Amino acid sequence: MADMKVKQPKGVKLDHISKIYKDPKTGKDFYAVHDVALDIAPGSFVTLLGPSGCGKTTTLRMIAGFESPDEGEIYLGGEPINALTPNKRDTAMVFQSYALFPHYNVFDNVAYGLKLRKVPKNEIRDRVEKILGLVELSGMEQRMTNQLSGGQQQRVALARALVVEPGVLLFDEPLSNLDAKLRVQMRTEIRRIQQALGITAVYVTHDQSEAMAISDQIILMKQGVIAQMGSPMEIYYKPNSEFVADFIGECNFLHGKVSENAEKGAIVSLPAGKVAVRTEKKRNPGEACEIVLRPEAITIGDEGMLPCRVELSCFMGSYQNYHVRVGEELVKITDNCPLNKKIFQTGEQAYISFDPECAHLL
Amino acid sequence: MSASKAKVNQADIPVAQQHKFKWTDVLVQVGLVLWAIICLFPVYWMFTFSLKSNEEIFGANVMGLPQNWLWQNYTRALNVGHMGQYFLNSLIVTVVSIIFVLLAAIMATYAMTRLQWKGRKRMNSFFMLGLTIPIHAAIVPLYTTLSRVGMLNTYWALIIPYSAFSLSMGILISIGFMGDIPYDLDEAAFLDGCGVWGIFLRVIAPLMLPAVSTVGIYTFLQCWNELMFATVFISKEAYKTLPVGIQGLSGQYTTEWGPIGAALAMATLPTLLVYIFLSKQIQESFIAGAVKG
Ligand SMILES: Nc1ncnc2c1ncn2[C@@H]1O[C@H](COP(=O)(O)OP(=O)(O)O)[C@@H](O)[C@H]1O
Ligand SMILES: [Mg+2]
Repeated sequence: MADMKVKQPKGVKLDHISKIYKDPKTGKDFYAVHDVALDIAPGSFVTLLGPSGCGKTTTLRMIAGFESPDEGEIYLGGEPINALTPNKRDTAMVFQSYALFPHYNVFDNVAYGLKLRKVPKNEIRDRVEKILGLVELSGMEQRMTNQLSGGQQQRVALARALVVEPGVLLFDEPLSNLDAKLRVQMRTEIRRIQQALGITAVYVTHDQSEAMAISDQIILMKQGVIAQMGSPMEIYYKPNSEFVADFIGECNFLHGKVSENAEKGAIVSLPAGKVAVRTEKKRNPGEACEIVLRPEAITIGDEGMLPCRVELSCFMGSYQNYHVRVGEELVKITDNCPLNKKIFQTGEQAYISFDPECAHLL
Repeated sequence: MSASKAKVNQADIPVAQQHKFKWTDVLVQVGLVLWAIICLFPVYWMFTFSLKSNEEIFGANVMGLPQNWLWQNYTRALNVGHMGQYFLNSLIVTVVSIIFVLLAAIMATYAMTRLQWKGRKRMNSFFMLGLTIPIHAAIVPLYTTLSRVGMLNTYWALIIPYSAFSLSMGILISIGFMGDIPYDLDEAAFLDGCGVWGIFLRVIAPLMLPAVSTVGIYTFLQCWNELMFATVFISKEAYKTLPVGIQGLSGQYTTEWGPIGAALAMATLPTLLVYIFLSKQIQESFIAGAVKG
């Protein structure tokens, strides 16, 4: 696939950018995006993730040039681009609605950008054919776009953005119009194509599993600011706040107090007992804290670290789903491959345990 | 994808057919048939009386089919009554007005809904104000203006007011249609290097075809039968349109109603054809027009 790489991908740098909008109801100005600073490496796949209204689209549209930042500067491949109109920037965009021209067929939709750029006719034909091959739509050139399925329309939209060989490819929730199964299939496809071309991609979604599946880096946003950024694994196992931990996957929180610092970690005292947890930061004894525990990192047994009472026990096929009460707090557990393990029933007493490495202290 | 869609649709059909027989439905059907007869009768009556002589029209055979089919009524209306000339004049005035309204309405709508500029909202309200101006109130000022610029007794004396009076509604209809075109399309075209005109000509205009037929029909219905302006602004025979021309016939041929019927039939034919073949668009333009009340 190395021959598909046609051009050097470009990096993107957002240098403390902000966008101020007027709230249409109150008429007051507010920061839709506030002081966002990040560096996107050339050729990487970066996802802006967060709940609806957190400023993902606004950030993406500032990179594309449809909105201009009120503060800060955007760099593309090292060049400041704030003053450039969208068509002068080396970016292409895949829209949520696909934005296919209904009066053009597949070929003309994909060829459109090249025609406007005055690329010679036979080169247009070659490039469009190559890209349609890449998105597996060869032979569909003459179809009108309304004769295509949702997944195929999505591929045309992708091909149209790719054919102009942009330095950075932008996606705004491109899969939200597809059904669940197709969504999973297309996201793998998008990742495959991005890696085949070695192109830089900035991707917006509110779906955390989508973000985990395709990203090199996740930028998790909340109310216009970056809550945390890092690789999917960092964000999953080392969330820096309850918001991040809760947004990415299922999560349990155990509230307690730091009782003493131990070697490579801390001893936390919970109402139900004391446990050791690994942390990088030194914590002050007496400080309130939270232990973040993923459901699959907890085991349940006849003995263990903390006593609990089983409130729900439910066989899910690949795992046994438990809800247990530890002290006052509800803890969810997914116990994988339950076939040869003891199954606890609702109302039984048990113990939970976890590896201190898999627990994270907030 | 499409296969599964078809399946769902087929599953829907039996549900629709399970419709129960109800007496109220029968009453509604009977009522509708009666209403259709009431509406269609004048058309039938006009076409039959266009083929009759005065004796039949005023004699015993008022309702029935003509006993003698007098096709010469039509040739008389054309040759003696100058119907050909009036028809052509109406056609010129109407077609040119439709073109003006379409161009102006779609371009104005594009400018007011898709481009960002100060005062676009106010401009829109200004155009909508046109919906509130009664046509009668405009006659005297229009007459003096047209006579000052020497446009009385020209096609322009009708084309300009007709276009102006249909423009507001044309814009109102266009705004609805243009609102259905996703904004993403403009941005996608812009990213590829289209300018304001490029987006308008290559993306918006082709997708406004449904609006073209609706606005076009609305304007046609406004212009084709218009009598007030046509009577006041045109007195020369050479520029008279159908409604005025036919009005004139009744003076000349008080004793011969057959040719007048023939003239009416000819004048009505285009409207009938529009209603028969474009009824869906007519409904749309009426629904849009309902706002005007
Ligand atoms: N053109 C605009 N005018 C005023 N407020 C806007 C505009 N666009 C977006 N907003 C507001 O800015 C915030 C961020 O919006 P957006 O970036 O679209 O969020 P997301 O894509 O993360 O769902 C939201 O509160 C939204 O209502
Ligand atoms: Mg969004």
